[in-house]
Amino acid sequence: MIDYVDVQVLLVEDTVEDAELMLRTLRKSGLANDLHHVQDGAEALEFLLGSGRPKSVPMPKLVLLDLKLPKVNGLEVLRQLRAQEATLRVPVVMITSSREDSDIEEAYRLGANGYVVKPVDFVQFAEAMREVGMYWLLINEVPTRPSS
Amino acid sequence: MSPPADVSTGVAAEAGHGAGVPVSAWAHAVAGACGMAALLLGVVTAMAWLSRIDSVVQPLPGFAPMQFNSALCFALSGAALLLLGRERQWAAWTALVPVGVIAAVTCIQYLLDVTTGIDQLLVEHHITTDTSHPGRMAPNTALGFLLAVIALGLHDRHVTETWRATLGVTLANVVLALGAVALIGYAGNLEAAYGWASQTRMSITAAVGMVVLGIGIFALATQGQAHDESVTLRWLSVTAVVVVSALSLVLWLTLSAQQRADLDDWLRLAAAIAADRAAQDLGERHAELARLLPYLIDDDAGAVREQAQRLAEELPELIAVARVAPDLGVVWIVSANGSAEPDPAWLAQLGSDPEHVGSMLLPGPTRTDGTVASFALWQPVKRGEASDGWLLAWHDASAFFGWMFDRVNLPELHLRVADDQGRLVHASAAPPATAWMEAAASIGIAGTPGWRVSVMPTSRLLAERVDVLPTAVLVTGLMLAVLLGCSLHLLRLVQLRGRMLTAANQELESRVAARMRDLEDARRQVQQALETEQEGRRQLRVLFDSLAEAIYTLDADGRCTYCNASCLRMLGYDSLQALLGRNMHEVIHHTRADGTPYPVEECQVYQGMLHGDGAHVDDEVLWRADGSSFEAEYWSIPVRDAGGRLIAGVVSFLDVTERNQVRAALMRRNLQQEAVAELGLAALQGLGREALMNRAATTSAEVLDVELCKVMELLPDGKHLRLVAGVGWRDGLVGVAIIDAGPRSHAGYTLSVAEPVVMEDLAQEHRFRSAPLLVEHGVVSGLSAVIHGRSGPWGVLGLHTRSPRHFDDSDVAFVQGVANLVGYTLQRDEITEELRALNDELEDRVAQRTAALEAANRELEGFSYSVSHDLRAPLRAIDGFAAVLEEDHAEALDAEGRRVLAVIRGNAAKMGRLIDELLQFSRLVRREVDTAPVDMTALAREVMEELVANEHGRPLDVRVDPLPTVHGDLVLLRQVWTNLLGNAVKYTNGRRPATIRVSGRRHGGEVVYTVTDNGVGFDMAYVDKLFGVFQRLHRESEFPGTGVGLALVQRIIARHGGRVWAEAEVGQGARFSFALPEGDEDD
Repeated sequence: MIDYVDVQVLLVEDTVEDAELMLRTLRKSGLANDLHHVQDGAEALEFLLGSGRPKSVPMPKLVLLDLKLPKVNGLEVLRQLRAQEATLRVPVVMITSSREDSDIEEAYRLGANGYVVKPVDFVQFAEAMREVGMYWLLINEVPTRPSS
Repeated sequence: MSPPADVSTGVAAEAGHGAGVPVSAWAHAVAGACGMAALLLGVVTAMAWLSRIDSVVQPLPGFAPMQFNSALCFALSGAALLLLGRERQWAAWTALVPVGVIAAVTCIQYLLDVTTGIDQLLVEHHITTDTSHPGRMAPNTALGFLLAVIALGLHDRHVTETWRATLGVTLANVVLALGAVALIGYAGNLEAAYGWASQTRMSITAAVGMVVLGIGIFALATQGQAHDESVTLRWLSVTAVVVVSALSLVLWLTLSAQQRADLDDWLRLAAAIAADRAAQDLGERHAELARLLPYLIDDDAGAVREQAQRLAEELPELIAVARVAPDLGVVWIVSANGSAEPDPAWLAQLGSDPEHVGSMLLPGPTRTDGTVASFALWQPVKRGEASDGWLLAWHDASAFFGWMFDRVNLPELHLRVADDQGRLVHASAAPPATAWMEAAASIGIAGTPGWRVSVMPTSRLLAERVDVLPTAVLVTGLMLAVLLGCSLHLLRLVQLRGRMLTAANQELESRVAARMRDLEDARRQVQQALETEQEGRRQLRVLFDSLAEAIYTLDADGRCTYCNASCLRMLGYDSLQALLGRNMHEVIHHTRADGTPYPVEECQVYQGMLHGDGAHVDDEVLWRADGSSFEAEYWSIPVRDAGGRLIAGVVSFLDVTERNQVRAALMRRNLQQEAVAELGLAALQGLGREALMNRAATTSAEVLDVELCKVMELLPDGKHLRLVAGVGWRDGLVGVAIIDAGPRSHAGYTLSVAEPVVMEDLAQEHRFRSAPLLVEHGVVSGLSAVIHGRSGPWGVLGLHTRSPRHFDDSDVAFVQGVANLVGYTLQRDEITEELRALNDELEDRVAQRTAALEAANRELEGFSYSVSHDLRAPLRAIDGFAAVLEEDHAEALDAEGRRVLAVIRGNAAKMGRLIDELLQFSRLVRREVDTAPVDMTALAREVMEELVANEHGRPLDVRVDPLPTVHGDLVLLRQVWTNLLGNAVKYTNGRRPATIRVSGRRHGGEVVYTVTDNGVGFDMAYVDKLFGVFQRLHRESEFPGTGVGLALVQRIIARHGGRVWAEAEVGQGARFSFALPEGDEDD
């Protein structure tokens, strides 16, 4: 069902409604073609570090990571990604409902590249997602080849 | 005070103490009279000149006339004198100026021998008299006027300096002397006295005028001076000098004139004799020549020449004799030495007048110095009536007249011969002494009128003929004048000094009198003091006898000289007589308290007095008359003479037996109290139970000075006591020994009576008998007290001595005190232990509660975390999918459907806001308060500006006053301002204008900030709901909001330890205030 050939964005989101709305937004912005969605931290780690992703498929250009995830929570996922050489430089933007200072501080301490609070208001939410996608996929430049 | 007064005071002081009359009336009158006289003299003479009344100008034909200038000067000088007497200074000076000019110019004329024309400037000199310069004032007159002008010009009545007056008087005297000398000259017919050096003579009227003028100036000069003897003497000395000088001058003039006249007579005589001799000699030579004539007439040429030859040889002065023919040719010449030629001038003169040659004597050629070298004599040769030439004989002039002068033999005179043309022919060798004394006579030989012999005195003659008398008279006179002046001056000085001495003497006498009076006063005071002192001494005796303190006095040897009543009483003597004269040390101080002898050499009372400043002793005894002693405190004080030698001593003493006893008791009690206090302090500081017991035992034994001390604890069975601590007991007993607690033992008895027990003698004791421990240790006396525990007696504290000992109330109280202290300490320790157990339990419970609370808190945090995360997700889904429906399926819905959809979305959004604010609220509440100084003014203004900016031009009248700084959390306080000011902005919506005021002040340890607005306000009935979460007083449709803001404000302020409150009225605006603690400025 999923085309692994060119995954540009990995969305880690347990709330399916949120995921759907985000996908819809990104799609409407023309950014969702190469998007892969997983629903928990374990799946995300599997995809990025384990066997969940064929060797031929390159690392995604952006990981959108929810904070509160079943099994392995977002911060733990981030910690593990930053502990591996292969995923050290993958941009990770936290997408969460939490505005707690402690969460924000912890996320950045672990090496998050961004922290976006999901607004309740859909219009604002959609706008935020669109801008995040635009920035990281179209504007931001990353090293052409990870060291691995 | 005016300056003249000052000056006259100075003069008076200088003149000594003479109270002279400042202005002398007679001097004034004399000056006036003299001035008037001089004026009249001058005016009358001048009028006479103008009217040509010569008899007035020249009273006698032989006398000199007064010149017109002199008359004018007299008139002006007299006027000046009058004017000065009337104090018309300037007018006087104006009159004096022409006088000074005339006199000065005249003097200059004389001195420089010139003529300026001033002499006959005003009047032509028409009176014929022998005068040097027509119309010129006599030199002595001119000098007189010059001096008079100086004297009058110097005069100033207001400046009466002594030198001015002295100079004035001197000049006046000189003027007077000039006139007086001239008058004497007229009187004595002595021209030199009034006519100086052949110049114009002073007239007799001028002489009188000078005298008058001099007197006038004198009077004027002295009129301003104080007139006493000393001043008179001063003037007298000046006058004496001038007058005596003038007199000696006149005398000198008289004598020298006489001498001069004699000398002149003599010179005239000598000149006549010399001329006569010359005439005679020349006549003889002429006669010799005449003797040759007969030979010529006989034409005996040989004889003539022979005679001539003879003459030439006989007369050495004769140079040659020549025969001159009528045609002036020289026929022959006979001379002594062969060759000679006659002077052609002689031949020319003979030829010019062959018949009557003017003179037989012809001057010959001159020498280089202009004197005549030779002269010739001639005889006409006649043959009948016809002239036949001349015989000419010429002589060497010097040789001839030298020969002649020798014959005259006047070696003391200088003689000289001059020819008719005034040329010197010959002068004698002796030089003349003076040029101005000369007498001359013509050589009386026919036809030689012009030849003259003149004689002048040589110094030899003057030495012989001129007498030194006149000079001696002059010198003596002048010296006399000076001497007289000096003497008078000295006299004046002596008089002044004498006057000063008298004054000094008077002052001394008055001072001596004053000193005598002072001495008399002092004597009277001493007398009074003596009397007072005697009375004082009597009173002192009474005073001493009334003193409670004993006092006695000693002489230098320590013998009694006095005792007061207390002294006698304390020592037990009836009368003073019993002690007087006795050595007090031997009587009352002979033995020490312990009975040993007390030698006087060691006695501090006496030795301290003898060698030092006395002594103070309070630990020795004195002995009474009956042989008993008492403790005394005494002081000894030495009395010394000026040389520091002891002359007497005072000793005072008190009986201090009673005082010492009281003091000892007090000290003992003090010691006991101190011991109890120290023990108490040690107990308070947590001394252990065992250590405390030991310390109590040791301290008690030390303080009461006993051998044995015991602390006994009642054992739980209540029947035995155990020795837990003690002093003095046999080894191995303390901590071990147990005795019966029944009333038969000392300790048991103490417990049974429950009060301190004193044991005088164990052997005599009948209250208790079983005391093996005491008996074993040889105890005699004892004292014991109960130690009380929390519930009944705990034990006994006991003290024992091996010798009989009396314990007084103080000792009992001390022992009971120590026992109580031990008891209280034991009780306290028990209570402390119980408290500690209770405390530990409490702390355990607190820890449990805290743990529970912390768990609950953690749970709460987790809850809010869930809320923040989990509540929002579905909300977002609701809103999101509603939006999707709206966007993607709008056409499937009708209008109502779309409205409902909008309502759903609106509520979802509101729910989101509620959650956000609730989260913010909990977050801020949980936040750590991080305090630092906060600039509230800047903060409030910053927040206000943000809010105003969001209002987009709504008219807001906002004023933020300067606010006090406070210690607080910047983030939290910013929230406070945001909420309060935000409310103010919100609730003033619709007000035109909206007014918002922010102010702050310090008040009572707080900083109070207030936000006032003119908004809708609220009903004060609901004020208690204002700060609750989600509590709103307005409908949301009116003013949107969640109702969290003020709750947040209250939480934040509460967390700062402050308070917040509000006042308002519906429609009238609201006022929100919050107060924060002022805080420590040092933080």
